[in-house]
Amino acid sequence: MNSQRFDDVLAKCLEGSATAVEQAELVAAAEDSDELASRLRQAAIMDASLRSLGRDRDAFLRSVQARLTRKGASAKFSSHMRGRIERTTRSSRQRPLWPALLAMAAVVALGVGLALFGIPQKADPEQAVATVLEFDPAATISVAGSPSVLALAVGMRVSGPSSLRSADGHVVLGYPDGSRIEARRSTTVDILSASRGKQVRLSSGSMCADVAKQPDGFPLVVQVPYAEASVIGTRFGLATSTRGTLLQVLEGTVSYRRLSDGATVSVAAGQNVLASAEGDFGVRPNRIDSGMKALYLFNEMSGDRVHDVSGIGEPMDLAVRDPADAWTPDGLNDKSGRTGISFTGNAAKFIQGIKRNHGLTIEFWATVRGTTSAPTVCVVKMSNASFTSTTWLNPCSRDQGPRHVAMVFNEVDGRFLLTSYDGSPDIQVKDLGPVSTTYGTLTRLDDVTIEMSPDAAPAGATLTTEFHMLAFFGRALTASEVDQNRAAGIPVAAPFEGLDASR
Amino acid sequence: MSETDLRSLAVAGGQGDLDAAEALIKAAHGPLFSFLYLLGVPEIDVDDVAQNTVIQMYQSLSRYDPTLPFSPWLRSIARHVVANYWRTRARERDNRGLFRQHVEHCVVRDEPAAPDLPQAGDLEKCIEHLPPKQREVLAMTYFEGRTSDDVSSILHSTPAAIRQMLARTREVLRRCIEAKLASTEHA
Repeated sequence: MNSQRFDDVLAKCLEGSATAVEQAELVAAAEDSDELASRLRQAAIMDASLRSLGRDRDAFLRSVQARLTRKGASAKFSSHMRGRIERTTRSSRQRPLWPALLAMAAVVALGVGLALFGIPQKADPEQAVATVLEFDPAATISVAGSPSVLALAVGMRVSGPSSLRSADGHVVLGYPDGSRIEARRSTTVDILSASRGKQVRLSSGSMCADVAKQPDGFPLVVQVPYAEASVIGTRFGLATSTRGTLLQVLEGTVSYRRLSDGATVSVAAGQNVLASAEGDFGVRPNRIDSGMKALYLFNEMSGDRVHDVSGIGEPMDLAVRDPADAWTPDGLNDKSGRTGISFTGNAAKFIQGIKRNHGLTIEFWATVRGTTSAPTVCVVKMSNASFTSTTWLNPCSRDQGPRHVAMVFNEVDGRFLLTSYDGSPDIQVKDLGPVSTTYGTLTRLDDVTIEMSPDAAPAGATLTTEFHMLAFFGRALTASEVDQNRAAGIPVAAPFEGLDASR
Repeated sequence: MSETDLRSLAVAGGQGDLDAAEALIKAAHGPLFSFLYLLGVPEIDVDDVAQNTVIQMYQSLSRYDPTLPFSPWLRSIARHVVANYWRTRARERDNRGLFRQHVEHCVVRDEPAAPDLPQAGDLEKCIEHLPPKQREVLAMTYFEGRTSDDVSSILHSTPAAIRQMLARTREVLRRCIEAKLASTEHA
């Protein structure tokens, strides 16, 4: 291996695009030559240092602070750091002028509003208040009893009762005890009480919370459609949907009570439960979302776009190609049986994940219904000139409710091997086996079609597919992970764990 | 920040000086992430592993021996946390590819003589002195997460040319850091 070739393969290894053969070639060359070994080592150190430059130090400090708070023993230090970080973040944040003007206007408006409605501008020292830590410029707050809708400002105190409405971004509230509540996009959260025995109501959208240990007998209570969550100290997410309100617990334990019958379940870390007017109220394992690059929940209810709601990097939206397709509370109903949903846009984040982890997974939930014994129904097809793989549902799988399927591609010796999981023999995978392509042909998805579409139904027959969920992962899920996602059911919200766009 | 400064902060932090503990975490942030990348911790989990390391470090500060250098002490905590991380992920560890395994092996093998990893501030200053084209390619690669294929499409170049430019840029930065370290020691 000459020097130029060594440098090129080394650069490929560092960016994660080298094949297994190239990696072996490079390592062998480095083991044979001290000079090349030194060059490899120095390049790896510089590469790691440059990658670390992209990490957000303030966000890291905030995370450490939150973890220390939950551990309890380091409350003094975490409190110290919180104050520092918030001051630093406020002073160092580079914002364009217009949000600052908006914030100033909001402060003026708030002053007028508070004066008009007799709410003290300074908090009563006996009553803890929440503080706005981060906000979307279009988010608003309205104080109970007041017709005014006010813009938010960093540092604004919220003593409740008041109603927060996030718009396209998120709003983060902090409490003096270190607890934080984040209202995600398009969410309405009512702060009913911010003092001992904090009370919050999630009317629509989704929120996540990181709650410090609450005083005995004064849990934080979150009212949601169909249920009520009581929290002593933990980390969790709540999301409303047409299917019910999902509670997902990330740390600790949350007590979740269904309002219709008073049934109560204790939901531990790694578990979730869906509360609805009727139906199952059982505890299920949380989904595996590690490595997810795009998520579609098909809850748009209108329009010709299915939005990537993963919150990871640049959205990879899908286009609904047939205007006759109908939105339903359960998803998108492809009535024609002729057209489908196509991938569009920049897939860089997906490709990076594939290259880094040498695998990919396409996971979906769909219901197929029909009155024909027509041939199998194509549900997902991924193809380009030299690469085609399709997963099919057999006729016998129709009218059996939502089905869960995962297509997992794993790179072995520079080629992708495809495995399909669905938990029953109904699924057929066409072109199973070594896929007729090499790793190199998947460097871009621009010329690859990913579509979910039923085959054409014979004349006079009805054949429809209802799409409930689709997810792309930049890695190959294991069989047990697929099983866990099946057991978790159809997701109703984006993952609550923070996911980095660069992953 | 020099090794002497880090030791002083660690000692003060261990004695309850909260400002010192905070400054120590800030100073350790860049080198710690660099070290975790070298150990092959996947991007998706590196933040969690770094947090675990810093929390263990903070909780162990009172036991820090000031006669020993701080950076190797922190790296030993990091190695311990990473070993725990891999304990339940043997398959993922094996699937990282030969290159990452080799780098990890070299890092662990050479650890006793390992030079300190560049401080973020020094690296940023060196980047400021790069020609605009090199800075642009560096930013697209490391801050926007683009591959050489993507960058070459945008800049109307070839992937190989972009990789070559990146290799040269990394070498320029390495020399710049060495020069800075030498001038610091000289001073």
